[in-house]
Amino acid sequence: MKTKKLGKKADSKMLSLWWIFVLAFAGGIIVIGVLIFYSYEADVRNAEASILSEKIISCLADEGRLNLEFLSDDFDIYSSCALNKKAIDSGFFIKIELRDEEGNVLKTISEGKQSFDADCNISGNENIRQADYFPRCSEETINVLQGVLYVKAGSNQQGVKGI
Amino acid sequence: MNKRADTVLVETVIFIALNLIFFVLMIVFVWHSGNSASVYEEFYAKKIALAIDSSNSQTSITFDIQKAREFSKAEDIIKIDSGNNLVTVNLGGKGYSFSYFSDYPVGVIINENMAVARVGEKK
Repeated sequence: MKTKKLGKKADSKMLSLWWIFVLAFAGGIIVIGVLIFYSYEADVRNAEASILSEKIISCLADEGRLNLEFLSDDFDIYSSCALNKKAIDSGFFIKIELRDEEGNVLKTISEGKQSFDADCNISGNENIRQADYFPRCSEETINVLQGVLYVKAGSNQQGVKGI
Repeated sequence: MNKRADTVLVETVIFIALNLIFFVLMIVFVWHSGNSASVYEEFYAKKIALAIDSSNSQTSITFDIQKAREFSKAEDIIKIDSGNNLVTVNLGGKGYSFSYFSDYPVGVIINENMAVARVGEKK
């Protein structure tokens, strides 16, 4: 009878120890999960690329009319569209093309990180997830009197933690 | 018999109390992680930078910074460096900086729970 009582007590202690282990394990998993979740930053690269392409479109075309400065040889996209060269070179890409109705390129301008042009074409789909470190891009096309204006903008800007 | 019953009762109460403490601690940890200063530093820096990028010259943009004020009452929680095109938000965490590509000079005025970013003419 006594041995049975002792066995029950021992079982109870074992259960407590096991339960503490389960709680510690569950707690550890929750803590690690939360830390991983909040270590990821909000991805605004798509929004940035979209804003950049829309800004360029609104700067170069007004009510279907192309800003004729664009056709001149000394056209400067930075001063014309109020873009900062240092910022664009650090993590953005811009490609502007004026095409005729047959699709022939009449004029092209490419600024910022040139490697983004190819990287933008490696886009994710339902089967392939786009790598996190690849730039996010936006493409816009608008018809103007002189042809078709095509703008491609990409962003891969990362914020900086700590001052 | 009464002693045994008392012991079982005390053990059960301690067991339940410890479990409750554990779950409360977990909930507090998760809540605290989601509401830390560093999360809001990133949120405000990106929000302000995107708003500046979207705006035209001679524009004022007003931001509600009530949540940021819960972390810091300092006047310089938001800094905009027009020279380097950088928005920096420091709410008492490590701070967070995010750059904007617009080439307009931008200034910021903080008034209680509102921050007003003024976008000027071309540099």
